[in-house]
Amino acid sequence: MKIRLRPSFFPYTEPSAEVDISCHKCGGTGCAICKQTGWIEILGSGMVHPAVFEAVGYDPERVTGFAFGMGIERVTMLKYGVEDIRLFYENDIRFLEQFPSL
Amino acid sequence: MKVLLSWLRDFVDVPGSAEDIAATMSVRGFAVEGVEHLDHDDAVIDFEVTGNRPDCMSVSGIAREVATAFGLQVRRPAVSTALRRAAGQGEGGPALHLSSLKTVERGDIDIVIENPHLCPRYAGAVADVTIGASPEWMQSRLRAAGVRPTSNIVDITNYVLIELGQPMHAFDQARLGGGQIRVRTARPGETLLTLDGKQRELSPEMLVIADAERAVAVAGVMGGGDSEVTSDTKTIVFESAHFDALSVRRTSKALGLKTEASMRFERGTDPRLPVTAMERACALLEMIGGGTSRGTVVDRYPERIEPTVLKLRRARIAGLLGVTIPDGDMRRVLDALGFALREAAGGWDVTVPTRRVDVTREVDLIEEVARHCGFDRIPATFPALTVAPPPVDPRISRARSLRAVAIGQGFSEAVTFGFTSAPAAEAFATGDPVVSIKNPLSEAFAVLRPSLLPGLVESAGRNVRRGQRDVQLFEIGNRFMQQRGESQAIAFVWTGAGRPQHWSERPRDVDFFDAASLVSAIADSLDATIEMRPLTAPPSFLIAGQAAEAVASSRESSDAVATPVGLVGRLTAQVAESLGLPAEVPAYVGELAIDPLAQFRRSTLKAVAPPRFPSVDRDISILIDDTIAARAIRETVRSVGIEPLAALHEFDRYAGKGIPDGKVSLSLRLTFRSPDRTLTDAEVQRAMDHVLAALRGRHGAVQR
Repeated sequence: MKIRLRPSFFPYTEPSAEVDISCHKCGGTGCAICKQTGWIEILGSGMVHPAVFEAVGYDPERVTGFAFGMGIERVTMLKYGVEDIRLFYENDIRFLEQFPSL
Repeated sequence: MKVLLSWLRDFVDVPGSAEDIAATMSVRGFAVEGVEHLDHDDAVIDFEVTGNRPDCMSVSGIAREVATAFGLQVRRPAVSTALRRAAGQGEGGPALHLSSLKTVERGDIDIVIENPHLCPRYAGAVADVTIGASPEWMQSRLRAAGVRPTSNIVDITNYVLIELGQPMHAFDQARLGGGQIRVRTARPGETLLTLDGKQRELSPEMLVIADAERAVAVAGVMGGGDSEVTSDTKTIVFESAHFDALSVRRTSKALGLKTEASMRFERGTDPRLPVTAMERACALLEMIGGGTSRGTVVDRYPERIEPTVLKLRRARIAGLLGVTIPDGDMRRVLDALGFALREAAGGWDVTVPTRRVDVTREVDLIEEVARHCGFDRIPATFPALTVAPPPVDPRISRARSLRAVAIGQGFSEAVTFGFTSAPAAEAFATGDPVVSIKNPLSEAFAVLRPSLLPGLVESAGRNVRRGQRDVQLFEIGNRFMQQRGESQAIAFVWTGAGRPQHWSERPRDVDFFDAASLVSAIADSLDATIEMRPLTAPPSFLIAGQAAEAVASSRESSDAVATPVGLVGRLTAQVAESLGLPAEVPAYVGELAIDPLAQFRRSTLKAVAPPRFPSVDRDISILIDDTIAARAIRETVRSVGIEPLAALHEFDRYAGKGIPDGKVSLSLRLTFRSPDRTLTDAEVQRAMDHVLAALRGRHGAVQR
């Protein structure tokens, strides 16, 4: 699997990047899942914004950090082929019982 | 931001197809939502412009980024005298001509800014016009950008907005009282009929454009109907201004009115742009034969906004990005984006163009460099530092044990929202006020949940309505109250069958004891000792007589205060129905606070050898009032203490034939065991006599 970083904007990181992974379905040639781009947006990331360090009492001249986070629904949908995000909020037992090991 | 390819090419001679441009720009910070192909090899590229880049909410802004990405020059609009001829050049777009306007103190319009901190700059120019339709090329460009063409004057203001990113407005000069424009805050009780036909109530913190008497526009948001350009308009005043971003945002939000103008102003526009935009509008006016400007502009700009200068250190670029960017590459990127560099010790002093409201610190400059040099040039490496992973948060390991218990009992784990509606929360608030959201998404998400139960009951209701009668759901999550604050809890809802149906057992519905034993199992999994105390006056969501409080206490130290940790019981029909759970299905619920429960954890489990001496069982049957709680009987038996009691079981309960009304026959098995000898019959009999005497004395029990 390949990844790529695309510049983006988040208030708490600078620089910020969206991380894409190559589409697991088509392998990067383009399909409906990746909207013909070959890439799937998977997480937001970046270098911790100096203002964030200042707010919690670290000196941004001395400390740098990276931050990243992914939406749990999105990866779960990809991993288990869940097509509608609303299924996660409905708590229908016929859906929940499909994951006995989790 | 929908950008027409041919319009973009007015600014930059970018080669390749729309798809090529889209692919390059999407790794430069401008994701592309789609490309739409039009006739004549033209296309519309829909760029996603992040909230920090209002300077790119225009064709010229995108053009600057495209030019930087492709290493090309960008064309800027320039003053020209050959305007009419330029417009005549066939189907293609107009050249980037500007009219030359002379700045005057007082022209054909008088402008006063009363609140310069909310409106640092206001430019107005008067033009004589003939209202009509704008030419087809202008209309089709506007349509491509998603703007509906109306009349030539309004189309020009929209054209400049899309092209340069400067929102503009046109007033009918004849309808401005006193020939004056005053930029001021609204007066108490002032109202304005906005262009969308709605009467707006203004408040004194809102900035308005007014004539000598009344408000004629909401500054930066929308114009007013009374001063609107109509087919009879002969003379107009173009407005091109710079407003305070926060003020426009607040006004737009307060009025619930979002426009192309407010969206740009609230993110931040370029204070240097208003006059250029005015010159562009006047040039367009002449090019399309819509009229002529008077050649002057009144530019009120009491305090010039100067560009900021930031330090950029070479070592910092490498330190933050982890890769050394050659000076040449760095300079090329920043130059192309309009930053001015001057050599300084260890790096540069960089002057930031006023349109770049997002660039306020060194790190923002480093991002610009990284963005256009390409994130793909940063090699993937592991961090040099290795750290031992921190110990697992006890809340996580606790949640893991709790999950195992609930799942073992046939439950499915649910996740419900942390927000809920005020009525749903109220029923479970138990005296502590709920925490309301200041700016809720909707009524359904107006407060923080005081309990996990409203969400769980709603989920159970959804299942039951979909034909699933037997529902067992649990959730581990946080709940919020004003006084008690935030706390982690485990909660469950149980409807329908108490056991899975099987031929070996008669089917039965869940009852209080099923729910209570689940609560005990949860406490056991945390090595805590709890006791169930019946609640005579339970909170309103539980039915009295089928409700209990779980109280944790320490087995080891008697002086530890017993602490209530949760509730269990049958849900009232009223609360069930209010959350969409049909009342005909019995539903039991329980909720336990995890932290206090964990506090009563036995510090260490110490094993003892199995007893060496045999135990002795004795059964008795007694007749007692059926109102006496089992717990009271148990306490009485245990309190006697003549011989060590190892166990006590209620093994039969009978009421009916042969038993008087209001009485019940209860059969108890007492198991005695001494740690140091075998008890004799006589000793056990003496102990039993005392137990019976106590039961008789305290509860009026009669032996059967």
